[in-house]
Amino acid sequence: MNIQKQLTTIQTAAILTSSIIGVGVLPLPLFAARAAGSAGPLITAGGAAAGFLGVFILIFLGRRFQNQSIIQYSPRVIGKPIAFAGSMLIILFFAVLTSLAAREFGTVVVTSVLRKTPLEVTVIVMLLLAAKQARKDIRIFAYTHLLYLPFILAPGLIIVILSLKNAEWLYLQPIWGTEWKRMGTGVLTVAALFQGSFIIGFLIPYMRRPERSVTAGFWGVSIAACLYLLIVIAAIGVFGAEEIKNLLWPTLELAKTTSLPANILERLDAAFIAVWVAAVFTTLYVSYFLTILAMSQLFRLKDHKALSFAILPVIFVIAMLPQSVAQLYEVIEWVGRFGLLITIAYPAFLLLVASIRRAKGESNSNAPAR
Amino acid sequence: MHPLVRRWVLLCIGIVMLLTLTSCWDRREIEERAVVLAISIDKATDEEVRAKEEISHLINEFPPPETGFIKLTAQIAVPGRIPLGPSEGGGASSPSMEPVWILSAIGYTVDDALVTLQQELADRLFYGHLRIIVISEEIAKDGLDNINDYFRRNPQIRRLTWLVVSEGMAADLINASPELERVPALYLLATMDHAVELGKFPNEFLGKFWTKISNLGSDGFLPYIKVKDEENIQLAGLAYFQGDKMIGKTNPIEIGVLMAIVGVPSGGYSVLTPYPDESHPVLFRTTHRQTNITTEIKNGRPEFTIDVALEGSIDEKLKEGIIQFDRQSTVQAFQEEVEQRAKKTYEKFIAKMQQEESDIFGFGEYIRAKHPSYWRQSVHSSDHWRSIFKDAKMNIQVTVKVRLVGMKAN
Amino acid sequence: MAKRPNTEQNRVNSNSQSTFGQKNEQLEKQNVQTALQENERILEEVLGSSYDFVIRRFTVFDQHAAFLVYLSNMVEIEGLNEDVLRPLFATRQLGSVTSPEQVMHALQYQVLYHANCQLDTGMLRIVHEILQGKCAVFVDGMQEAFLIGVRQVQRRAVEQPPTEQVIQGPREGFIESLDRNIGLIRYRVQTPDFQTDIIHVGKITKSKVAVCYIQGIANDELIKEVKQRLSEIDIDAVLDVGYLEQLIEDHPYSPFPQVQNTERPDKAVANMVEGRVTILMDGSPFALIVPTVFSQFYQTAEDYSSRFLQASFVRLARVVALVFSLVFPSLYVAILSYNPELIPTQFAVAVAGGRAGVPFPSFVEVLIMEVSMEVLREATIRLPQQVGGALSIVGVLVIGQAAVSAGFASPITVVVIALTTIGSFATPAYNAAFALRMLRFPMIALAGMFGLYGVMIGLIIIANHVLSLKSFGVSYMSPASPGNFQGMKDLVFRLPFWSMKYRPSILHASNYKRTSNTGTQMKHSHHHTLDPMKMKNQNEGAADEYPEATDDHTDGSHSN
Repeated sequence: MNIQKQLTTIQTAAILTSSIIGVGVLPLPLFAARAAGSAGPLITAGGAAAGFLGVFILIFLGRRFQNQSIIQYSPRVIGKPIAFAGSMLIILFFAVLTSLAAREFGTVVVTSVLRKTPLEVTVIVMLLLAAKQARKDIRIFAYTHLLYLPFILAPGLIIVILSLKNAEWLYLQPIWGTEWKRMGTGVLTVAALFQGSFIIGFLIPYMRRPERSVTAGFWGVSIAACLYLLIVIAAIGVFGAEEIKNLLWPTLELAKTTSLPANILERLDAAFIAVWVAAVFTTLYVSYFLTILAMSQLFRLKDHKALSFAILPVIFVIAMLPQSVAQLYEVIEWVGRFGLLITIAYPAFLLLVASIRRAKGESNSNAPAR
Repeated sequence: MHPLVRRWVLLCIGIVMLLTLTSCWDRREIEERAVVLAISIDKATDEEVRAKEEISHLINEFPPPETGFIKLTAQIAVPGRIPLGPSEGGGASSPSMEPVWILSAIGYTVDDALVTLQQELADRLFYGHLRIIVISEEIAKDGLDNINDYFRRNPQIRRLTWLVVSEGMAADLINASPELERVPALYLLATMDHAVELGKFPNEFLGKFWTKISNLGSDGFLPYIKVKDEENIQLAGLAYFQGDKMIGKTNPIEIGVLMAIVGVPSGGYSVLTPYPDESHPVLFRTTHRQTNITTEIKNGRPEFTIDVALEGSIDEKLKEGIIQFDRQSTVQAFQEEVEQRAKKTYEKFIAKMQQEESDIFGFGEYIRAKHPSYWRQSVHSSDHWRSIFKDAKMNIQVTVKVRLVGMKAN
Repeated sequence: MAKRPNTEQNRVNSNSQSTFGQKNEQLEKQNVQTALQENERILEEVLGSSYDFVIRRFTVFDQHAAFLVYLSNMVEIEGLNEDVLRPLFATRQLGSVTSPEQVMHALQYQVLYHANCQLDTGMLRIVHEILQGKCAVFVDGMQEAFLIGVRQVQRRAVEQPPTEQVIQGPREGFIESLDRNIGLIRYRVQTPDFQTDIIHVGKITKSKVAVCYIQGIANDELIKEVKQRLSEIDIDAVLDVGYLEQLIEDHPYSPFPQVQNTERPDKAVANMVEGRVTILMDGSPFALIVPTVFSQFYQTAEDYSSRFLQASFVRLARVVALVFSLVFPSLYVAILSYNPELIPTQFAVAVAGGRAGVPFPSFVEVLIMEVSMEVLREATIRLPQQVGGALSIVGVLVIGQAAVSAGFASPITVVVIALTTIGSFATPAYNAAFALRMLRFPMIALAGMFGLYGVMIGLIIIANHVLSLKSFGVSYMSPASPGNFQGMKDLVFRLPFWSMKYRPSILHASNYKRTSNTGTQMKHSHHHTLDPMKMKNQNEGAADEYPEATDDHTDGSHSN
C-alpha cells in the first residue's frame, strides 16, 4: 500500500488542535485551581509545556522515519517483542482514553442538560459518530478537523471574552504558587489533557512536507494551549480559586454566568454544551482513529475500516465501567498520569535508543512505506 | 438491495424507532413546566410545621433542624395570563387573572420543601428562569450553607440570579404586587437590575456572592430590601455577612460608601453637603468613581491606602444667595468641603465594618494577592483574616472633582 | 409530386416483425446504391411509415432521375424551395452532363450553393441526418447523396432565465436549442480554445450532448473523465440534462446535489473560464457544470457583476438564510421543549402563554406546519398562474391565522415556519435549497428527541456526510476544508477581482493564473482627470459660457 503524502501543514496543525481541545476543557479550571489556587494559569502553562515536549519528541522521532508511524518503526529501534508490547499499550491506552472521554461528556450532558436521558444513550451516540467517521480515510480525517476547527475555537473564545467583564484581576494574583508537590501533580493532570496530540506520531508519514512537522506541531499545540490558558484565566478571574474548588465543571459554570449582549440568550450553558459536542466529537474521532489505525498497522491489516465497528462494543463497555462521577474522575486522573508514560516517556525512550543506535528510516521520502 | 439504499432505509427506521421508543426522555414543553420566577425562604411557624405531610421523609426520622423548619414560597408563572407582545386590548387586571401563582411549602431543607411543593403541583417545577431568591433576615442570620449547597448543585439555577435579604417576611416581598409590572418577580428583578444601572448597587449577583464567601479574604454582602405599603419595594441597604451568616445591615447611603471604597465606576448616589453652612445645603451627585487601593505590611500589620477619586456634578441647592457656582474658586472650595465630609464618612464606615469583623470590601484579597508570603505565614483561615482586618490601619484619601453644574449659570 | 408511401401493407409489415434496433442493424452496412430505386426502397422501408416523410422526384440536367427526401415537420419549406429545389431545377438550362461523376461535380461545385451541404455514402448516417432535419438528394447513378441543412425546429426566443434572475447583469438565458445555446456561449468566449465535443446519449433519443470547455484551462484529465462518464451512460431516453446529472454524479444517494445546473450562459462561461466543464444538451435549457462544490450553490452570477462590498454583503445574507432554513425550526423546537432557560424570561413566559392552548408537543406542531407548508408550496407551483398567486398569499394569511385561532399552532410557530420558508427561497440553487429543506425534517425529529444536543448531533452527521462527498474528485466542502486560502477569497465574501489572481486550485486548471504573466495590475492608479485644479482654465471658460449655471454651482465649479 502506497502512503499518499497529502496532509498540508495547516491540516496537521488543525488535527493537533482539535485533538487536544475536548471534554477536558470543562473540568480544567478545577484541576488547575485545586493544584495551585490563583497560580492555575501557571499550572496550565506547565501542562502545555509537557504537551509540547511530547509532541516534539514524536516529531523528532518521526522525522528519522519519514515513511513510518510509531507502530511501524518501533520494532526497528528496540526490537520486535518490546515494540509489540509498547504498541499494544498504546492501542489499549487510546481505547481507554476514547471511552473515558465519551463517558465524561455523556456524564456532563446527563447531569446538566438531558437529565432523564440514560447515560448509555449519550455515550453511545458520541461513540457512533466517531466510529462512523473513523471508517473514512486520512484525507477526510484531515478535512473534518480543519472544517470543525473554527467551531471549536469560537465558543471557547466567545465565553472567555464575554465573561471577562465580570473578572477580577485580583483573583489571579499571586501568579506563582508555592506548594511544589501539589503543583507538580497538577501539571501532570493538565498535561494528560494534551495526550490526543500523540496522533502526530501517525501523521508524519502522511505529510506532504514532513520537514514542516515542527511548524505544524508548534502551532497545533500552541493554539490549544492558548485556549486552555484563556479559559483558566477567565474562570479564575470570574470565580476566584476558592469558589472554583466548589464547582465540578467550572467552564460550564462560566458559560452559565455569561449572557449574550442585549440578552439574546440569557445564559449559554446549554448552548455551550451543544456546540461543544463538535469539540468532543473531534477529540473522540482522533483517539478512535488512532486506536484502529494503530491496530491495523500492528497487525498488518489492509485497512482500518473493518475495525471501526468491531471495537465499538469494547470501547462502550469500558466507558460504562466507572460507577459514579467521583470514580470517573479518579480513573481519569490515574489513567491520564499513566498515559504520560506512554505518550511522553515511551517516545523519549525510543528517541534515545534510536539516536544511540543511529537507526534511521529510508531517506527517500517518496519510497513506498510498508 | 443496494447497500446505500439499505443504509437510508435503516436510518429512517432508526429515527422512527428512536422517536417512538425513547418517548423523548427529557422533552417537556415550555407550557408544561411550572416556571418558577422567584422563591422566598422564611422560617416556618410551629403551626405550619405541625401541618406538614410526610413526603420526603417520615417526620420522626430526623430530629427537627437546629435552626427550625423553613417555609418556601414560590412564584410560578401561569402560562396564558402573561400576554404575548404589547398588551393586547384592555389590560385591566382583574384579581382572578393574576399572572402568577404563589405556592408555599414547609420543609426540612430547601429541596425538601421543593419536593413537597412538587407534590401539590401538576406540572414539573422548572428553575431555569428563577431570577430572584429572597431570604428573610432570620434565615440569613442562621446561615446560608444549605441554601448555597442546593442552588450550587442544581444545574438549572442561574448564577446571575439575585439573592436578596428581606426585612421581615420574605414571602411578603414575593406577594407584593407593584403597579408597574404585571409580574411581581420581574418587577423585583427590574428593581435590582436598574439599581445596578443607576449606580445604586454593585452588580452583586448570586455567583459573585458565592465567590466572595468562598474567598478567604473577603466577606459577602447582599441587597437588603423591604416592603413599603404592601406593594412597594425599597432597597433599604445592604446585609453584610460573616462567612455564611448575616451579621448586620447598613443604611442605603452606606451602599454608596461601599461602592466608592471598592471602586465601582458608575456612581449613582447624591449627598447633601452643607455649604457654606448648615442652612444652605447643596446636593452633590457622584457620576464616576475610581479607587486605587495599595497595601503595605508595616510591623507585621497590614496597612491600606485607599485613594478614592470622585467625579460628579451639582444637582441643586436649597437657597439662592450666598454661593454662586460660576467661579472655579467657588467650585474648588465646595470640592474640598465634599472631600472632607466624604473622608469622614468612609473612615466611619470602614471602622464600623472592622468592628463587626466583616470584610465586605475584600481587603483580604489584596493582601493574599500582593503579599503572598505574609498571607501564608500570618493568615491561616478566613476567621483569622477577620481578626487581622479588625486591627488593620486604613488611610483614606478622597479627591473630588466637580465637572458640571447643570443648566443654571450660577 | 410528393408521394405518401405509407400504404397499409407497409405499416402492417413493419409493425408485425420489427423489434427495436432492427432498423439500425439493417442500415449499418448499407451504402448508397447506384440504382435510384434501390435507395428509394431502402428509405421507404425505414422511414416510410412516418406520415411526414416526403419523397420528391425530379430530374437533373434534364435526364438524370433524382429525388429529394425530407421530414416535412423538420425542415423550412421555403428554404428548401428557394435554396435546394430552385438550383436543381435550373440545371435544365445548363445543358446535358452525362457521366455520374460529372453530374456530381457539377452539382457540388456549380449548382448547390447552400452553405450547409455535404456528401455522404453511409445509409445509416443519412437516415440519422434526415431524422435530425436535413434533406437528402439522391441522383441516379451516384454512390453518394447530398445532405443539405434546411432544418427548422420550433424554438422559443431567448428570454430572461426564470430561475436565476438578476438585478444587474445579462438577461439572456439558455433555450432548448443546442445550436442557439452554443451560440450564446460562443459570443461570450470568442476564442478558438473554446471547444465543444459532441456525444450522442440515449439509445432511442440519440440526444446530442455537447461537452464544452476551454482548452488550455480545463484540466485534460477532467475532460476525459466527463466524456468517459457520458459515453458510459446506457439508457434509452435522455430528455433533459437532469437525466445526465443523475447518471454522472458521484454519490446518487446523497441528498446534496453534486452537479450544478444553470440557465445562464454568462454563468456557464464564468465557470468554464475558471476551469470547469459545461455540459449542454439539445432539448434542455439547462447547462450542467462540473465539478461542483457546495459553495457554488449560494453564489450567483450577480456576485461578480456587482461591486465586491455589495456582493459580499448579499452573499453573507444568503449564507445566513441557508443555515437558517436548515436549523431554525429545530432550534425552536429544542429551545421550547428542552432548554427554555436560554431565552429571556419575559419572552419565555410569553411563549408559554402562546403555546398554552396547543394540544401537541412543539415538535409535532412544527412538523405539521412544515408539512403543510411543503404541500402549499407544491400546490402553488401546480396551480394555474391566475389562481396560484392568489392562493399563496391567501393560503399563508388565512391558514396561519386560522391555525392560531383554532388552537392548532402557536403564533410564534407560524412566525418561525414563515421565516424558514422564506429563507429557503434565498438560496439561488433550487436543488441545494431542496437538500436542506429535506434535511430539516430529520433535524426537527432529532431536536424533538435530544434538544440542542440532538440538533448538534444532526449537524455533525450532515457535516460528516458532506465532508466525504466528492464531485469528480474535488472535495465537496472545498475550498473551506482542505484549507485553501486562495479559494477562501471567494467563499463567503467575494473579494475584489485584483486579489483573486488565480483560478481555483481545486480544479487543477492547466493555466493557473488569471492575470496575464506580465503581472499587470487589475487595479488602476487614479489620475484625477477632472479635478477642478487641473481643469481650472476650461472650467472658468465654461462658467462664462453658461452663466445661468454658475448661480447654483458657484462653490462647486470654481476651485478655491
